[in-house]
Amino acid sequence: MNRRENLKLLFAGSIGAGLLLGCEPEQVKLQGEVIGTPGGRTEEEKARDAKLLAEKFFTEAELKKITTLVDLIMPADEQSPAATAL
Amino acid sequence: MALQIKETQDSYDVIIVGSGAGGGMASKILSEAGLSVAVVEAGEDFDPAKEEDRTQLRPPWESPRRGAGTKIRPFGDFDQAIGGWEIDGEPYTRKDGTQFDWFRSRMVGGRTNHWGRISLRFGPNDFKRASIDGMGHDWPIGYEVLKPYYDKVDKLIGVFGSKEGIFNEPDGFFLPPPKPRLHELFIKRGADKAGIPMIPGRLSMLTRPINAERGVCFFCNQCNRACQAYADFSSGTCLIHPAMKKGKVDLFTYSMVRKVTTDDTGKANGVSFVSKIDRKEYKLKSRVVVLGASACESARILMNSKSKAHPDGIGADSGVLGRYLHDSTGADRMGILPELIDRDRYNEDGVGGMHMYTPWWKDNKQLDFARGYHIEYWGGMGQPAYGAGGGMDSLRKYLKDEFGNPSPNGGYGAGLKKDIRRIYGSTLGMSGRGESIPQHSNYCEIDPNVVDTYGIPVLRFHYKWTDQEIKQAKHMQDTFEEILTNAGATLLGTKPGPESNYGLAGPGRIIHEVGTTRMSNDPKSGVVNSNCQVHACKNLFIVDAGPFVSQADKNPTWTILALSWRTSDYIVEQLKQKNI
Repeated sequence: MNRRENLKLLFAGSIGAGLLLGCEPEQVKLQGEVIGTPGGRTEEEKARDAKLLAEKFFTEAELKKITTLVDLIMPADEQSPAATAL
Repeated sequence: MALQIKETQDSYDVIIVGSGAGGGMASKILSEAGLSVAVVEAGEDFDPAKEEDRTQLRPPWESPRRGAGTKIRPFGDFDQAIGGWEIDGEPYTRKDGTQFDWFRSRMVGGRTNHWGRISLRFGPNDFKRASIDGMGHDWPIGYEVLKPYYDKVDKLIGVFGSKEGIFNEPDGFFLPPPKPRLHELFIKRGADKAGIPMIPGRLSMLTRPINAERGVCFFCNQCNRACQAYADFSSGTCLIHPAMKKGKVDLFTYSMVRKVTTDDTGKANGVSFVSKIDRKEYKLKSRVVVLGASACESARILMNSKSKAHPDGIGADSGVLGRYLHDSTGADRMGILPELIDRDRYNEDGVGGMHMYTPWWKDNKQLDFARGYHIEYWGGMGQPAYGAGGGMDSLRKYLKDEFGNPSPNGGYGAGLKKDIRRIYGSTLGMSGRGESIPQHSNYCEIDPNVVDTYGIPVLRFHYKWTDQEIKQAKHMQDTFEEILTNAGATLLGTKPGPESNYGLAGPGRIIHEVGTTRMSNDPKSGVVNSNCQVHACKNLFIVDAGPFVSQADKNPTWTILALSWRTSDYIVEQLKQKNI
C-alpha cells in the first residue's frame, strides 16, 4: 500500500461512509447500534457504557439548569456555537 | 472482537507465551524456520485495519467521555492498549509499605500497542555498566553480539533517525526523520544555549515504504490508537499476524498461562492455561517453550511452575528469580512560551511522538549519581479532546496585552473561549527517562495468600528507589529548568524538591520494568544463560525483558526484539543439533 492508497482507504473508512449514506456523521451514529465509544471495545466496556448511558443522573430541572449554565460559560461566538449546540 | 477458542491441535514444536515484542519476534523467526508454533495470549485479538476495531481518526465526540481515560484505558478512551495498572480480577500486592505499579496490556501485541515507539539501541557502555561505575553487574554479552540483530530489526520493522556518530548511541539503518515542529525548534533554542544536544528522534513509524504489507505514516499523531495503515510498529500488525499468514502459527487468545509443565527429568513439555471464556484448564504440549509474557509475568509463571523436579518453581534454584527487578526513572516539567501565544492554526500533528530528543550527554565522573537519562520533548497543537482548555484559572495570567497588562477577559463567557484559543499550543515540556541501578532487594515473589480470579497465585512486589535515582531526578529538574528558561518559556508549577524525590516517578510508572529472570553464565547468579536459555530447564527460553541485566536509559523494546531474534536463531540451531 502506498500513501495515496492509504489516504483513499482512510477516506473511504471515515468520511466516505457518511457521504455514501447521504447524511451527516451524527445522523449515522444515531441510526446505528453503537452505544458508547465505537471501535475495539471489550465486552466489559460495552456493558459498562450501556449501563452508564441508560442511567439518568440529573433530574430534568437540574439538567435544565446545567444547560443554561454551560451555555453561559461557553456561549456562541463568531467562531463556534454554544456548548449545548454541539 | 469475537470470543472464540480455536479448535486446534494440542501438540506443537514450540509454544510461545505472550504476543508482545519478544513473543511476536519469536513467532516470526521460529515459524519461518518451518516449526509449528502456538502463541498463547491472555487477551484478545484485534486488527486496527478492521472498522470494528478502529479507534484511529475518531473525533472526541464519538466517545461519550470525549476521549477521557478509563481504568482499562488509562491513556484515553481511544487508546488501543487494553489493561492498565489495575485489572479487575488480576490483582497484585506490595510488601513492607513499598510501591510498585504493574502495567499490563491484555491483547495481541501486548504493550507494543501502548509503547511510544521510541526505538533506541543500547550502546556499548550499556552492557558494561559495572565495569564503568562499579555498581550492579555487566551483561555476559556486549553490543557487538547484538549489533547484527539490531541491524536486522531496523531493516525488518523500520525506524527513522539520523546518523550522529555518538559512541553510546549507535546509529542504525534509518529512514528519514520528520521535520521538527515549532515547539521543538523553540526548545532547541534553549537546549543550544544550555549546551545540551538535541537530535532527531528515533521512532519506529514508516516515513518511507519498506514493504508491500505496510503503509506509510500520514502524520495523524495517533500511534497509541494502533495504525490502520500498519505504518507504526506493533507486534500484532508487524509480527504475529504476518507470521500467522505465512507459517504454521496458531493463536490462542483469552488464555491465561498458569505454569510450564515438565516431565520427570525436569524438561519442559508444554504449558497449562486457564481459558478466560469457560474458566477451564487446558494443556498444550510442545518440544520447546518460549516465555514472552513480560518480565514480571514470565517470572510469575516460572515461580508457579512447581513440580517434583522443580519444587520451588523453575529457575528458583538460581536464587535470583524475581530479583533485580528495575524500571526506568522518570520526571517531567512544563512551561508556557509567550512567543507561542496567539499562534497561527495549522496541522503540525506529525508522528505520534517526539520529532527531536536529547540523548544522555554528560560524564558521570563529574556528577554525584551514576548512569544517565534521555529527554523526550512535547508540546504543540494536538487534536483537542477531554481536558482541552483546562487549567485556565492559573494560565490566563500569562496572557498579556501590548502594555503588559494581564488578560482583561476574566471569568467565563466569550472571553474565556477566546483565551483558551489564544493559549492553545503555547505550553510545552519535557520528560526525563533514566537508568536505575538494579538491586537484589527489589523483587517480585509469589504472594502466598492471594490468587487471581483464575485461581493463579499472584505477584507481590518489594521495591525502593536508592539515592542514585533520587539524585538523578534532581539533576533532571535542574536541566529541565535550564532548557525551558533558555528557550524563553515561563516555568509552570513549582519545582519538585526533596519532599517528592524531585518528582521521581514511582517504580513501575515508566513501564520499562526488566531484570526478573536476568542472564548470567553462572547458574547461581542468573536464571538464563547468555542465549536466554533457562539454566535449570534447557528447552525453556525467555524472550521478554526479564533477561536484561541492566535497563539502559533507552526504551527496552528494540533490545527485546534483537534479543528475541537471536534467541530464536539459537533455538532453531539447538533443535537441528538435537541438543534440546
